[in-house]
Amino acid sequence: MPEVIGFLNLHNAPDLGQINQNRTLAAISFLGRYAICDIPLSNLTNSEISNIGVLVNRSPRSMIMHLGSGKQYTVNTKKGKTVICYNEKYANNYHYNTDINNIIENKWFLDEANSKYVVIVPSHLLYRLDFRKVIKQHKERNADCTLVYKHINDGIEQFIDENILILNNEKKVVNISKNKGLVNDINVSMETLVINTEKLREIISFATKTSSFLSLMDVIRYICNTIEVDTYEYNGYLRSISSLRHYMDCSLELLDFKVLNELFDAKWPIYTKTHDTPPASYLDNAWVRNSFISNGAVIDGKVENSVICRDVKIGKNCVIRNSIVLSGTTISDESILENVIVDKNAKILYVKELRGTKEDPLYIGLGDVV
Amino acid sequence: MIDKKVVAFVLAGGKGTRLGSLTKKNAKPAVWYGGKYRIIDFVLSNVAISNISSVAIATQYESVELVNYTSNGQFWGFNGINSEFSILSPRQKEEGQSWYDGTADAVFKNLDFLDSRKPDYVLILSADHIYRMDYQKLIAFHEENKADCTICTIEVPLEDRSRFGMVNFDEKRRLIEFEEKPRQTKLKEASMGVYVFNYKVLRDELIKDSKDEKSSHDFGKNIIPHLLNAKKKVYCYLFNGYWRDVGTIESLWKANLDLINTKEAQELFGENENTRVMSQDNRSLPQYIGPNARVTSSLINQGSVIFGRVDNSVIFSNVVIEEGAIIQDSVLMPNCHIGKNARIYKALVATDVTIEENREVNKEQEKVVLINS
Repeated sequence: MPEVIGFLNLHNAPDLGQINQNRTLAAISFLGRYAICDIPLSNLTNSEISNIGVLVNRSPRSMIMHLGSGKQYTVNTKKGKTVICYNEKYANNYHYNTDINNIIENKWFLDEANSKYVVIVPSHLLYRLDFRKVIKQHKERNADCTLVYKHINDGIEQFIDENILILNNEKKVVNISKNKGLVNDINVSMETLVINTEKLREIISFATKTSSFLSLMDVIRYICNTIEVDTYEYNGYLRSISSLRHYMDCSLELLDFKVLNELFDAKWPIYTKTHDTPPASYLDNAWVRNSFISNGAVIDGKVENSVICRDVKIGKNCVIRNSIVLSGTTISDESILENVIVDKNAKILYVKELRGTKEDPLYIGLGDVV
Repeated sequence: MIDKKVVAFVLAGGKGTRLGSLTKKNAKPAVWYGGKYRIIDFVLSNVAISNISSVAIATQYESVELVNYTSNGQFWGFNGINSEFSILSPRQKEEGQSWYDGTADAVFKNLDFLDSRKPDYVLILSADHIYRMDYQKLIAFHEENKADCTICTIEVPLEDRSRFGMVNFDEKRRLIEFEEKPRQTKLKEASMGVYVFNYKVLRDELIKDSKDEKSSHDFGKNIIPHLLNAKKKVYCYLFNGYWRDVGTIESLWKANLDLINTKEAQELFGENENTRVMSQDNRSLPQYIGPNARVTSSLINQGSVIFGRVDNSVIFSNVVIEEGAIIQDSVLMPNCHIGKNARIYKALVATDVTIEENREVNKEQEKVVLINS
C-alpha cells in the first residue's frame, strides 16, 4: 500500500489554440524532446510517488501515445503504475467535465491504492518541486490539505487569470480569487496540493451534494473557511503556459543557462518517451547559435535562438530565428523563419519567408505543406 | 517471413586487445561507437529488423557492463511475446567447469540450450562488427542452395587480406577453398564471421570438433575447413555494404568519422524509421549549442553542451565543450569535459575524461591518439 499517490490534473489547462486541436496541453512537445506533462510527472516520480493517475479531460489519444504503459515514469513496474483516468461519462459535456467528476469516475484508483495522502498537480504550470518536502510539512502541521503557492511581485503582468491565494497571518487560506492584473504583490496558487485521502473523499462527497459543475479548486474555495487549508511556500522557477506566446517565451527563455538550471537539474531527471533517433547531424554549411537541437535533426542552414525537435531537416541557406520547429518537419533550402512555431511533420516548401512577431508567433499546422 | 525456427547466436565474449584502455574494464561489444551507440547495437538491431526473435548472447570477457546493458533485450524489442533473449555465460556444470575456449567452443558448451530450442537454423554472429544486414535474405539464399552452411563474405582490399579467412568458390558460389589469414592470396572475398548453419550439421560438427584435441575450436580455423573436407555444401553469400571490424584505435576512430554526412552513414543509421539502429536512450536534455559556438560537419548527441568550435567530429552524449575550445577530426565519448581554449586534433577521447583549460592534444596530427585521462 503506497503512502502517497499522485494525480496529474489535465482539467483546467488553458487552450493554446490550433496547436491544442488534436492534443491536450500536456501532450504538446516541449524543448525538443519532452512533452509538457513530462515535467510534472517527473516531479512526482522523483518525489518517490509511483502510483500516478493522469486525469485526462480530452484528446486521450495524445496522452495514450505519449505515456504508453507509463513505465518510463515508474521505478518498480509491479509496485507502481502510471494510468490514464479518462472521464468517459462527461467527455462530451464541457460543463460536467470537471476534475472532481473525473476522480469520481475513476474512484477505483483511489480505492485500490488506499493511500494516506494524495498529491494533485496541474499540467500547465512548470516548476521543479520535491513533493516530499511539502508532505513533510503537511505531516508536521497535521494538516488536512496543503496548497502550494509562490509569492510574486509582478502580478500586474504575470500569471494573469491564474488563481491567487488570500492568506491570513498564519498563512492559512481565507479566500481564492483570480489574478486580474491589478496588484503586484500576490500569492499565485500553483494548483498543487497535498491532501489527506479522507479529506479528498469528503470534498468529493460535498461536491456531489452541492453541484456537479464544481471543480476541485472551486470546492476548496467554498470550504476554506470551514476547514483549515494550509499552505506551502515555493520560491523556485514557475511559469504558466497559458497562451501560444507563453509557450514560446517559456521555451526560448530556457536557452539562458541560468534559467535552464532553475528548472532542470542533473539530479532531477526528466523522464520521457524515447525514440531511436541517431545523433544530430551538422552539415558543412551549418551555423547554429544559442539553440536546442534534438537527435535526428539534419542541419545545413542557420539556426539562432530556436528549439529544433527530433528529425527536423533544415536546408541550405535557411535562417531560423526565435522559432520552435516540432519533430519530423522539413524546411527546404533558402527558407526564412522568424518567430514561427511549426507543428509536427510540416513541410515548408513554397513560401520562402514566414514571419510572426514576438507577441504573436505565427503557427504552421500539423502536417501542413506551405 | 519464413516458418523455420532460427536462433541467433551472438558471440560477444572477445576482449578486443588492440583497443587498449577502452576494453580494460569493458568487453569490445560494449565499446561506444557512432555518437550514441555501443558496437553490439548494430548486430542486435539487425537481428530485430530481420524478424528473428530468439537471441542468445555468449559473454565471457569483462561482461558486467555488457550484460547490464543488454539486460532483457528491451532496447531491441526482444521483450515482446514469443521473443527470447538469453545471456549465456560460461557455466559450472555437473561434469565440471571451464571457460569458453574459442568461438566454436562457446556454441558447443551451449548445445543443451540450443537442443531445447529445437532450431532449424542457427545464425552465428559476432557482436564486434559494424554493418547493417537483413539476415532473412541470407537465410533465403541458404535455403535456395539447400546448403549445410552459408558463410557471409565481403570483398576486402589487398592489404587487409592477410587478416581474414579468404574464400574461393565455384560459379554457383559453392565454397571450394578456404585460406585462414594467408600471407599472400589471389582471393578477393573474406569471411565476415557470419554463418548460417543447419542445426543438425552444426551440432554434429561441434561434437566432432570438441573431441579433436588439436583443434583451437574456432569457426574460421577449424569448423569451416572441416566442413569443406567433409564435402558438405557450404555456400558463400556476398554482402555489399559497409562492414567494419573496428579492432584498433585508428579503425574505431575512422569508422566514427565515416558516419559524418556520407552515404555510409545513411546505410548504417537506417534509411527510415523501421530500419533505425536501436539503442538505449539516456535521460539528458537536448543538446545545447551556445551563443559563440560553431559546429560544422559533425554528429552531436543529446545532452551535450557546446560553446566552442567543433568540426568533422563525433560528440557523444553529455559532453561539455567550453568556450574557445577547438575539436577537430576527433571522437569524444560520453561525459567528457573539454576546458576553455583546449585544442584537440585527431583524437579519440575515452569516457569521463576531463581535458584541462588550454591543454593541447595531438598537435602534430601524425596519427590518431587515444586519450584516457
